[in-house]
Amino acid sequence: MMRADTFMPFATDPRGYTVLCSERQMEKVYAHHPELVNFWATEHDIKLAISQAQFIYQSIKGKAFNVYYRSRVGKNTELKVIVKFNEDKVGILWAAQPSAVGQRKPGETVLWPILMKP
Amino acid sequence: MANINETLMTPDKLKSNMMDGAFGKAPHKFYAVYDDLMDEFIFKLTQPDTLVAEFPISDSFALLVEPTTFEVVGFQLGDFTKEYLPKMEHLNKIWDKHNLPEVFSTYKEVKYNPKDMPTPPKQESFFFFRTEKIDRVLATA
Repeated sequence: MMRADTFMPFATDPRGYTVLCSERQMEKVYAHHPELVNFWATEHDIKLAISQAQFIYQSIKGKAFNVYYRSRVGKNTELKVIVKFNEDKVGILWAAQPSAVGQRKPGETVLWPILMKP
Repeated sequence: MANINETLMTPDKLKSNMMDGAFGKAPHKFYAVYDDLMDEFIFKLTQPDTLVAEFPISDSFALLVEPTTFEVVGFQLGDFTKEYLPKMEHLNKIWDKHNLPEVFSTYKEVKYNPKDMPTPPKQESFFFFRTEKIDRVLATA
């Protein structure tokens, strides 16, 4: 049985970066954003937001923080997930919450997908 | 079928009926939590599990909006201990003394009663006017 504070592989993002999570960390994420329950955002949905992210942004909090966005069908909200990475590109699930579709914090920059200029 | 532009949350569609009445003359409850991982303080006028979506206004301030009515029901302060706390004298004094980061590690219900509040200083900014009051409410929580 996984210890509550043991970090285990949780998801792999589209760039191949590994994200870890522990039971205690997940509890914290839901404690800070209990609205996730009424957003029907399960751990599986959070996992999908990372592994099948539509966009990955560089957070304004610093280079270590990446922000994942994945929209929900039929809702004008998307699931936003924040992961903190170390230099080895291994990250820890840091936060998750519903966010208004397309609304980004000023200063967030797209990391993925890499958009090519025509 | 609804036009996608009608359902998208945009600044011009946001309503502030609840926030306009908040921290006014009527006593009421609000809910607050401190996210130590993100250094964010979150205030809600609705139950904590009510579905709200973050609507960023600046790099450290976001509104919390009910996604079907577009009603603003709270807000979220980022970089709380770095940016906001030093500006809120009352709260800054009791923050560590009363271990508020731990107290607010999960949502707490706070009763707001204007009778208990000293007269707040005049602030031109809508936001700081409200946080000044919140600061006092938390100081008495």
